[in-house]
Amino acid sequence: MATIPARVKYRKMHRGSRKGIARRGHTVAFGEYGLQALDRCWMTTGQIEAARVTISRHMKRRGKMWIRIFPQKSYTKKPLETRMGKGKAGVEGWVAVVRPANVLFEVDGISETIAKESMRLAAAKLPIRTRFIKRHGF
Amino acid sequence: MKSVPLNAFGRVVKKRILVKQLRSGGRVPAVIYGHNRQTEILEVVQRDLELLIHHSHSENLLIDLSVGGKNRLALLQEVQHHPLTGKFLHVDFHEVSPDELVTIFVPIEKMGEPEGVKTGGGVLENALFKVRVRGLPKDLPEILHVDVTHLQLNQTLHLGDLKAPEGTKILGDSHLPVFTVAEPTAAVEVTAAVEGAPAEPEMIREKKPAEGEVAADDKKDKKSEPKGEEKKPEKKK
Repeated sequence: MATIPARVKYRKMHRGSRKGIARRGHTVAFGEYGLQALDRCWMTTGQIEAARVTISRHMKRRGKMWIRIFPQKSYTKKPLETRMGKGKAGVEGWVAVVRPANVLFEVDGISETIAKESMRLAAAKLPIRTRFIKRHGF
Repeated sequence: MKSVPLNAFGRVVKKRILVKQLRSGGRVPAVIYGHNRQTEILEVVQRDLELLIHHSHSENLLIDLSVGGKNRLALLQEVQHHPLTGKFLHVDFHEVSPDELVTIFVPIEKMGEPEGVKTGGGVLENALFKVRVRGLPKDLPEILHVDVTHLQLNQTLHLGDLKAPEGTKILGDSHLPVFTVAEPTAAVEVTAAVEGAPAEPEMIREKKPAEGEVAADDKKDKKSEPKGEEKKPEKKK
């Protein structure tokens, strides 16, 4: 799984804004069931990967899975016991900006019971509240 | 499609803040257009709309809309939902004539489990979720049920294989795949994939200098280096 972008123009980025709710990527577009974010966060590559592994293990390689988010954004962190200033620190990792209503994962080709359980297990690996949604939801 | 009755009222408010107040008051802003008539803005009772949509298979509905005592036949063209709460934000009605052909998008729903999934361990992939159907409003289906039980491993059901309800026609390329039973994906070592990934992304340079230019630059640098060494900065006391 690609966990960071292959090519970037600039390595360090501004922090940006996380306000508002997702106005795109908030519907189940590929599969039948999905996991929707209810909070906002910077989701790290490790968290996304942990959830992905959990879903694929519980599905036992039946069905199909889609990851709807990608860590496009780099974040920096100053080393310990360093004085302030002296420029922006080095890149610490990569994150995906998740807003409420973003669909994080989608699955198809499995029963609703298995999909629900795999999403529940994956949600336990994530730092935010989520909910299980269906294509013909609402 | 059987027509269902719904009451709508003429709307005066247009501004965003007023429309928000309308929604909090239990009404949903709506609009009606089509059939060579001028567009009118309306409002419908949220509870009525909820009951109507939740008791149907899909959001494809033929509505007998009562506006100010006059009955108008309309299709539910679009329903906008809030991304998080799912509440109705706005409704579009498309006025139609009972004897006029119309085209709508109808969602597809699979029926049964394919043979290829049951015995072959394959995965049913849904490539097309909605199809365009043309016909008279009364003949149009709310949802298209497709039987997939006969599909074997590596078999595909195309758009041309779908049976349209009587009096209607399915539009689109008949070779388009709708359902496919694909082979199960092979086991992939997760750790190997992560280890193989690069630690840092490649940087995109705006212009890469050509080889000839690089060589010329190097020569210039070499020539300039000794001169630079000769001119040492004077130390200030």
